Amino acid sequence: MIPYTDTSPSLAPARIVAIETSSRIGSVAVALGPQLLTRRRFSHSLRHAVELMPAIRDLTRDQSWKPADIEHVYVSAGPGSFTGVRIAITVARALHQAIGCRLIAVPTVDVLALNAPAQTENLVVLLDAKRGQIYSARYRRILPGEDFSPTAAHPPVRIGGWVRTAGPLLTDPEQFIRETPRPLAMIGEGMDYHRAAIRNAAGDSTAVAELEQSLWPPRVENVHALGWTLAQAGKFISREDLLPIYLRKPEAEEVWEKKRGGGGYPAATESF
Amino acid sequence: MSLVLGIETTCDETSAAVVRDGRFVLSNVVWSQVALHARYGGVVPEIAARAHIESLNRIVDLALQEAAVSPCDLTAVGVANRPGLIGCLLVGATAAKAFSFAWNLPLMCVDHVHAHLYSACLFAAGSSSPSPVPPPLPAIGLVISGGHTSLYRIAGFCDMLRLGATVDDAVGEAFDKVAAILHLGYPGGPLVDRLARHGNPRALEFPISLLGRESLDFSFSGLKTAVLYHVNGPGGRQRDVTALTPSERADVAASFQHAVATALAAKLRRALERHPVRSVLIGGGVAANSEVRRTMETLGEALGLPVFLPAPPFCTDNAAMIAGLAAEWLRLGFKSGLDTPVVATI
Repeated sequence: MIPYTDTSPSLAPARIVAIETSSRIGSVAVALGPQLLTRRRFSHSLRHAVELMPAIRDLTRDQSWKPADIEHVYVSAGPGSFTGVRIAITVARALHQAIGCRLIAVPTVDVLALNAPAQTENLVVLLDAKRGQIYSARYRRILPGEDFSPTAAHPPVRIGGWVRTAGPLLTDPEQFIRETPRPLAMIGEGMDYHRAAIRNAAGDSTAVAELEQSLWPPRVENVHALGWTLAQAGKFISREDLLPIYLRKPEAEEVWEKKRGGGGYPAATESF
Repeated sequence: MSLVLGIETTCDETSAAVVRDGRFVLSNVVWSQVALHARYGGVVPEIAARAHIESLNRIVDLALQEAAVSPCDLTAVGVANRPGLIGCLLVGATAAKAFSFAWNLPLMCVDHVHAHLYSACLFAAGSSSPSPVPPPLPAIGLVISGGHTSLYRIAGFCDMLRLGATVDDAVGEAFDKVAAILHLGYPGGPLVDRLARHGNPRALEFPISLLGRESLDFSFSGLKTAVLYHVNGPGGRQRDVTALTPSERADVAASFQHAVATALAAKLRRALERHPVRSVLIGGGVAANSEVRRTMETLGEALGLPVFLPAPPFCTDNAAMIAGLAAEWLRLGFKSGLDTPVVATI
């Protein structure tokens, strides 16, 4: 899904800015290679546009870094809030343009999966996508002796104790949960929006569990951890390719395609 | 000398420009999204925001290249942070903040509508025409575009007071809707203007809403509906424009345009009667309309006031006007913080 256009690995500890603005409360962190130095959570919800750049300025200044010292920027690239993700990606692209830092896109579903303790066999991430749908991904617990070396035939991407087996995708929550093997744990704020679908899919099964709510928000430290792993594997992305993972077309486009499929182009005067 | 990089993403144009000393435009790159929105008959905010993020960096690169300026030559970054479509504003404003931080340049957030009024001060550097005289202030300003129709009293470019605004459609919106009625396409302004050249502006008498004797507000919805009923019949659904001859269609376009220009001139005259000023500034995409330009210049001559109209490239949304106004604010010692919000409404 993500085109890795810059594949030379980063082996020396780099000066890193990590950004997570895919949900209501944003956060930003600075790190030196694998070591998280400090992070800041925004003061209120939906303050990404106001607080992100001051936070980057303050946190880098606290480390006595000049802007040009930033070597890597990792972003939680969605799916999630279109606006939130766009803000992070706009910053990353502009910083690349200005100072040439290298860029990493971390799927937001992986950021969430890393919150989940690998105590069950399977995991589903649920984020509300509106109109009765979810952004989701499915994970299975790592098998004993599983080969993660780059020389393996198809090395799976390791997300903490998990391997992603499906997604990120836009889907129907009931069907997706129904099709996921048991036992299963679920995580993400989408659970609050799709209770009926979850109930229908899970039935009375004790093999379907909800992880506690404190684990639902995406964390910037996970963006950093996953980003650093990707950086070491040389999975950087070009500025032009760094775009939000929307998964969903704009609503107007969906409506237009539906109308066209159902009998022709809407007359210009329909806008009155 | 100042060199300001301007960024404009308030609606459906992605633009970046470099302006020297607030007036001389070294580059003004505008990428219009019109083709992306044409099938919807208007701008779709989510599509516009997505297009801005995909194109902005390339447009900034082009603006710097065309101006033969490197980031280290710049004095400041200016951006329109209000008013506009929120998702679109966020892309431009966020990028400008990141550039300001990374290049260690002052950030100047300016009002897009005010910048339209500044656009008459701009001059394309390198062109053979003489440098224009700056407009004497105070002035009355009229912004006429697809999103705005407003009158201002301009004491200075950092001191503008809005006197009136549209209570329904913006004038450019009315052009788009009349173009749709006439099956001309989108955006409507240039298409109506082209068709109107072949018509008689006095062939039809469309209503001109003045909203009472004291009002400096505008209204165009009645005019638009009158055109709809004239073309499509009472109720607007009995026939369509194909029932009219080409000459009748041109008359509709010319008469509509004449009604618009008359309404704008009437309100401008009212404002000038109440506020003694030294000049008139016009800005916005509809300032490119030939009938509107002619009417405004005629009014200025009648009143003995100079009328400043932007050169055509600076009428529609563009970043040169943002950079120019940002330079003016910076000259007066203003500066915006990285925590400056975007604001959708005026």
